[in-house]
Amino acid sequence: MKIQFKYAFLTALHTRGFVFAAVSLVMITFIVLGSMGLLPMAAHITAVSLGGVGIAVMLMVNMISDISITNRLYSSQKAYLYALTPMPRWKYLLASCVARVILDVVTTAVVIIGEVWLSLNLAGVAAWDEFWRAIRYANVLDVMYVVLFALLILSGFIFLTVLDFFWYATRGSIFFKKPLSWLWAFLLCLGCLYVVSLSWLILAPLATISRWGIFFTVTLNGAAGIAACTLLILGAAAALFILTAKLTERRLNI
Amino acid sequence: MTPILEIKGLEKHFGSCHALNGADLTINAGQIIGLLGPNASGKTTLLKTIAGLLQPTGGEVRYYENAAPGPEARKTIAFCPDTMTFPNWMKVCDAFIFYREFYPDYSQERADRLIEILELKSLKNAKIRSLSKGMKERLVLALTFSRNTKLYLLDEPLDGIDPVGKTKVIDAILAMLPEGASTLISTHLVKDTERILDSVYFLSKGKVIFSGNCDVIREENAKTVEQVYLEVFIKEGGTYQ
Repeated sequence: MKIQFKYAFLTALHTRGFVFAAVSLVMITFIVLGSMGLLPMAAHITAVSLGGVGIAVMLMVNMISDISITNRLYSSQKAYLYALTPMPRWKYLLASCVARVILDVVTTAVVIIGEVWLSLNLAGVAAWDEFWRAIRYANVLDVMYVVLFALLILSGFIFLTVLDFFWYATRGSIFFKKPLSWLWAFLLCLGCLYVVSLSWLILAPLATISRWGIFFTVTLNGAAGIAACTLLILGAAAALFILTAKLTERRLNI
Repeated sequence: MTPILEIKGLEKHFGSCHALNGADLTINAGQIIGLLGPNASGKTTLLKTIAGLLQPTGGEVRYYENAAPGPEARKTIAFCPDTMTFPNWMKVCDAFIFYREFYPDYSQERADRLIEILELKSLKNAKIRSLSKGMKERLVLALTFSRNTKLYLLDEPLDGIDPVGKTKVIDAILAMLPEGASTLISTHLVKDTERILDSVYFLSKGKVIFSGNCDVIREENAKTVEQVYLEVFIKEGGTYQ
């Protein structure tokens, strides 16, 4: 498993490194400019908005790249590198999923922490005081807001992992065979909901300045919550699937 | 003689396209077999199905010592695809490390010899993306034969290689084939490979239309295998160009 993880991690790093670097660079530039007053919006709004956009863009690009990589792995010679080895392919699939989740969680955490630190530092000591005070006196709604945010991001990762694993393991065929074709449609719907609910991250800061902002935030919060819960349930099902993958290995010839 | 591989009535359909149409083939130990046919005759599909990369639609593939399809069967099969399977960011030496880590039958001694024969020594630290088509072909071949296994499947191993390189590749196949092991070479370059083949299978539209021992074919027809190949495929009215 160690060997598979090594190569899965290296591959994930090579496919995600560029996206992460590009998003971070654009975001940091805008945060710096916003904080210096060189952009028309207030510094913290700019930082939070762009942070949301940055994460949303990064996750969406990653998702698109995952799907394209998975498709490529299914249809092109690249898949053969692992499919030809005498080791069970489910091990590589699992390692690949785990590597990508770790990488995405780490990059998202780096982006969020980096953005908060940078914007507060640029805004001065008073901003830090306000930040600590906000944490100390946070109410239940604030905590729920943060938990929902974390849940949404986490469920997105789990969702992608499940989708990738099913696709890899069955080379796509499982989704087009009855009675499992409904699963494919269901997963697609959830994927759409997930992408839509990500825009909540972009719109959230606008809630403070417009009535429509409040309306969209409330609506998309609801959508995000539903998506997060459903995807978490799906994640649990995926974990079960992965655990039993070895048993199905021979049947799927992987 | 115990067969290393037996294929009976193998079929592979891609929607309405029938790439394999009941192909039969037997590979005995210690043989070099040519799988000959024009473009789109089903050669690559057959090799991929044997290697376990494609699921057959019908028919049977019986592996060495009745190994189950999947990881068990792949232990005895080394497949050399016609394109580079390694990611571009890897170096040549990384590809050999990959093989060492993933294949228990990898032999460093064999790899070193192949690097020597195929003149890959100076490219050890080169990125795979920087290699020419011919050098990529040589690298894939070196990796395939660095394994000490029972059956080697080579898909168009001479494509994109210059005439001197072709000789080197053929020499490498002859020198590095372990005793009792067999090779199935898919190619349409009959002239270049004829001298090393023990027997041949002519494939057309996913079906074996002619097969036999090369010496017998030459003796009975008083012609080279290439001449017989041309005759068969021109008569077949197939896609030979």
